[in-house]
Amino acid sequence: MKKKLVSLALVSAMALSVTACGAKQAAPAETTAAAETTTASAEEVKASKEAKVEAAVAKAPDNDIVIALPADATHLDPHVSSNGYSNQITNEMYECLLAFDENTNVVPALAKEWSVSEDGKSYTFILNEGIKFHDGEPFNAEAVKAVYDRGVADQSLTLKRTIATWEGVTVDSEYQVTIHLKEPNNTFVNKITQFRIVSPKAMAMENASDYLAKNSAGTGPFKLAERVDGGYTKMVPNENYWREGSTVDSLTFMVVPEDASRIAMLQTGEADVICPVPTTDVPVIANDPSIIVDEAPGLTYRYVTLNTEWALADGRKPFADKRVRQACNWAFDSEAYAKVVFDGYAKAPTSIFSDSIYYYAEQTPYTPDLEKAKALMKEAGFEDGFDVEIVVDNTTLEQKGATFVQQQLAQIGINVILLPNESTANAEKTSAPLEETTVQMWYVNWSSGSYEADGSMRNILHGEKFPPNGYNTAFWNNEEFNQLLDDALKMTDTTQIAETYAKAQAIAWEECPWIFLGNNNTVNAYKTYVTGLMYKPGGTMIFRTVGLDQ
Amino acid sequence: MGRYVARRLLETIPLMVIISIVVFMFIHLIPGDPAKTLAGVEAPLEEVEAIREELGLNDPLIVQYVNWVKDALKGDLGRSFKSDLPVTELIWSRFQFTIQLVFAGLIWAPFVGIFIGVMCAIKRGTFVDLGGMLFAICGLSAPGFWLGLMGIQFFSVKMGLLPSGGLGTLKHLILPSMVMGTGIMATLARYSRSSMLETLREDYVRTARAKGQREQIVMFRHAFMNSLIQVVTILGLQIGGLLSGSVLTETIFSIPGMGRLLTDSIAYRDYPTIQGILLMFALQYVLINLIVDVLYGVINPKIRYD
Amino acid sequence: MSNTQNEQAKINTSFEENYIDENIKMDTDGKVKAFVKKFMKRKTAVAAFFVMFLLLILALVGPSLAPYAPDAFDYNNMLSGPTAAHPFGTDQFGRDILSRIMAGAPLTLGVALSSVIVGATIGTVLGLLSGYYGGWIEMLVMRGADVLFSFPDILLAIAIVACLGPGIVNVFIAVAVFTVPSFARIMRSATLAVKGSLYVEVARSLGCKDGRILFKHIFPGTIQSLIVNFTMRIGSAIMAASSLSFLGFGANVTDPEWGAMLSQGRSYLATAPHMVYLPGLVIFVTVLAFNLFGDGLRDTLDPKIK
Repeated sequence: MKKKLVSLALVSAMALSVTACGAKQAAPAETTAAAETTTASAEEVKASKEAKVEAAVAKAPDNDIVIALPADATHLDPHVSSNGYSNQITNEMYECLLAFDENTNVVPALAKEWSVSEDGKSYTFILNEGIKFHDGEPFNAEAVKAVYDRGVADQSLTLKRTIATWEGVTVDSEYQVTIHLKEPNNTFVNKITQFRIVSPKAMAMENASDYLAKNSAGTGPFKLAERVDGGYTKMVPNENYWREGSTVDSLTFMVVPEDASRIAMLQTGEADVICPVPTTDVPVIANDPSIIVDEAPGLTYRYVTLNTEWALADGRKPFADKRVRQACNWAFDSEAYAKVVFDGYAKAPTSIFSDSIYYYAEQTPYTPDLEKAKALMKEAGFEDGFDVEIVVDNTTLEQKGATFVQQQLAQIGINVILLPNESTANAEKTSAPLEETTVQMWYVNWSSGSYEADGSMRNILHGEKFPPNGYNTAFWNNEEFNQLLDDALKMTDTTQIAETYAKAQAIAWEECPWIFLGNNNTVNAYKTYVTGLMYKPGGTMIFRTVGLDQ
Repeated sequence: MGRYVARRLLETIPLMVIISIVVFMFIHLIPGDPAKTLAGVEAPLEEVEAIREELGLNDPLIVQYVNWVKDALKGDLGRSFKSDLPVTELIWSRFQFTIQLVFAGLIWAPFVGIFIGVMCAIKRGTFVDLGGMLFAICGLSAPGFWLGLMGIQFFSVKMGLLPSGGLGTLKHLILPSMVMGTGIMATLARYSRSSMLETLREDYVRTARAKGQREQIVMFRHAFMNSLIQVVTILGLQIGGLLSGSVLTETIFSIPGMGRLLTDSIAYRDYPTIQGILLMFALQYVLINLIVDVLYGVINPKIRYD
Repeated sequence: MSNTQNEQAKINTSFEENYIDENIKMDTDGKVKAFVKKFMKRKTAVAAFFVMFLLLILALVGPSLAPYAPDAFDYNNMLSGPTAAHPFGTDQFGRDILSRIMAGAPLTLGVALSSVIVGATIGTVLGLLSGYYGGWIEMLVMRGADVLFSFPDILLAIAIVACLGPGIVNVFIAVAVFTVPSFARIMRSATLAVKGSLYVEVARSLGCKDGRILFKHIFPGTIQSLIVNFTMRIGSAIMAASSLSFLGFGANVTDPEWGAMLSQGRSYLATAPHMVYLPGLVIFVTVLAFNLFGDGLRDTLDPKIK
């Protein structure tokens, strides 16, 4: 008798696996089709958006909006935090003198007008009047200066980065303030959009950061209500907001690290907005009539650095040879990369940074050509290929991308070995100076938080930015390129700046210090009843005027 | 008994000292630079250096340790590198979620487990026994994170019955409690069965039976109460397992508990927080063992504290 | 996975109680025969043994039998569900999941087996020595075990892997480390029990050397609890290794390690759930087989259960 039961148990275990298979039988055809025609479906998704908004009948169950994000802010003090999620959250509570709209145009915010002096060294701002901080303090020129003073006094703040090139701030009148620069700098206007204004009263406190971790003291549309570190951050509308604000009762950013859970929460209505949507899951929600999927060209540019100084055991330096570096790019199919790694929600590279960045200049793409790549490898004396290690973060997406790179380079005999590790451990490795570095290749990405060309190149390609001073782990040092960047920074004439940056981009594109991978789009999804969403460049959402259809 | 507890507490002091040293040294062996991570990729070198200085990372390790212990004795575990909140406050806020999960697991699992075990022992050698034990061993062999993921897919996405993550209502606790409790349920079913079987063979049970006491009374009064001792031990030891399980459960169900705090803190090389959490876990273990020992005496008066 | 600790506690007590009346010097041939005969009566355990055996064979020859290369990309066939060509479906790169599971068997089972072998060997030696010599060796080993025990095993493993960096070798080290203390404890108490027995006394009075007594007389007496504990540990080692991989602290994702496959698959839970179901099921069946086998072994070796 027992014998029978055992086999019964085994059979049921098998049956379980069969059920699992059976349940799936219908779906794979769809998924495969989706994988094949992802680009097409990406367009369909866009097309269906309007139709869904028209047809939307779903009403919000309450007036509390919940946004699911994959990670938490590190700190709510807007001068301390630096990661993307911190910015996303603090942006709703703090504002800057100027801001960017979704097309990367500079628009007024706390300042209604601004002007530049002849020599390009002084910027004068006329401030909006009658604005109050969350703690009741008035917003004026003194408040602007106080932020600068805080940055000078505390070197450990991220704020310091914004004001590093400033000479000083003068209060011209109650609502007029002038910022003086040490020398002209074409990135100033971009940087000022990261200069968040905080109530002077809060900053003057003995433990300002502690206060700001639990209270908001900005001028923004929302005030901090409640926060569980690692759990959620809840805000309520600022009843004294100086322009049109939101109509919701509350706004909650919830931390949901699992991709599958974020999708499930949007489906069940536990979350009203999720960003970002993992691209593999778009097909799951694309056909849901109550969900809108929105995509925007992202700012995050992905690339693999090729350490030009790295030597094989026999002393040869493969990546010192331009032909090997170019061969890698000719061998790499960036369209397939976009399709496989990002399900079509990415753009093949046409320059060394995203086209949403100021002064982007289009280059001729490296369309995959294996013959050419092999020929170049042969010419360089590497027709037999070589083994190389690639440093990569251990998240699913990053590893997926690096695995793709591995497979592409295998075609020309380059055997790539993945070294996945946590980003923190990688940061230590990649910031080692040339003499000590172990980095051969690095699968990485970069985005300039202030959308500027200089910020998109200097830290990662300039010859002075070898680690630990920067992240030029290609150890690529091109005098002409360096000079162009340095010159452009001091220029004031925009056409001249554009020309200079175009030249720099052309050089790097031709020299290939990296394998250019491309930039993925930001995909967001929200329920049809969510209204009034706005975007920053790169697809970051702004909830200033958000509402819910009741 | 008071003296016994006091002595046991005293005995844990050297253990805690060793643990604190191990924890501290260990953490600092983890490769990675917290200052660099905090500053972010775009940060210039001077800013990283300023942060490093501020966090005290430039002091010799031994100085850092002594400072940490001094503060820890005052109940101050330092401040999180990442969020700048006091570690005690951080741990406390996260601990509440983890404890909810632990209770959610404990509220059903031991009862179901003991019930299955006792039933199996009474009906020894029958289908009930075999089925119960197969069920238990399956529960022991299924990876919790796998069960959780399948639970989400089935109950939340397909059926739309239960929330897929977060905490708040009782409904939110159902799936996590399933994942948390399965292991305990299975372990207890197995133990209570074998300890019940063992007690059933004891002389005094036989005597009671021979004296003609009613079967239920014999079962309950003697056999069941006695096997409870074993079960308490196991339950005590299982708490550690529950805390382990919470790391996985919290990750799957997006619950900001201690387990996730630990994995997040490791990612940020947030030394004070990692130290605090590990110390907390060690302390819990020591305390739970103490409680279990004391409980022994309550259940079984034969044990003397001397 | 924390159940094993208690299994051991339990095994110990029954072992110690029963050891003395057992006749150690029983004729070995007869003993093995009796054991096999007894074991064959436990059908579940026998079935589990065959599954286990198949899995071990799979680990040896699986990679060469796999229908596809485990890293063969197929961009026209990504995330496809089970079909005739791909009975377990394909993953996000169009790789055949069945082939990957087969190719991953030596990795997953290899890590589990080798870490338990290494951990058990170290633990056994430490346990024998501390049980036999007592004194400062015992003090040191047991305090060390206390320290390791005071962290829930997964947390300990996470901390170790965080320190050494992720990768399959470091998972092996982490699992081996937390295997050591439990073996040390069990072997110590088993040694203590045997040490007091008559024939050891005799051997000693005859002037046998310590080494000889330890390995000729004491070690064979403890081997029962060693074997049982060993099998039970393998199941939890597989589970621990896959949990670590699941949390991102384990194997390299390009390796077809089962836990790593599951971890990668969870991003596709909504679109391609077979990527989660199937590797999870394989882990489940494997752990189940080892646990059932261990169970049967324990029951057979335990003289109390007939």
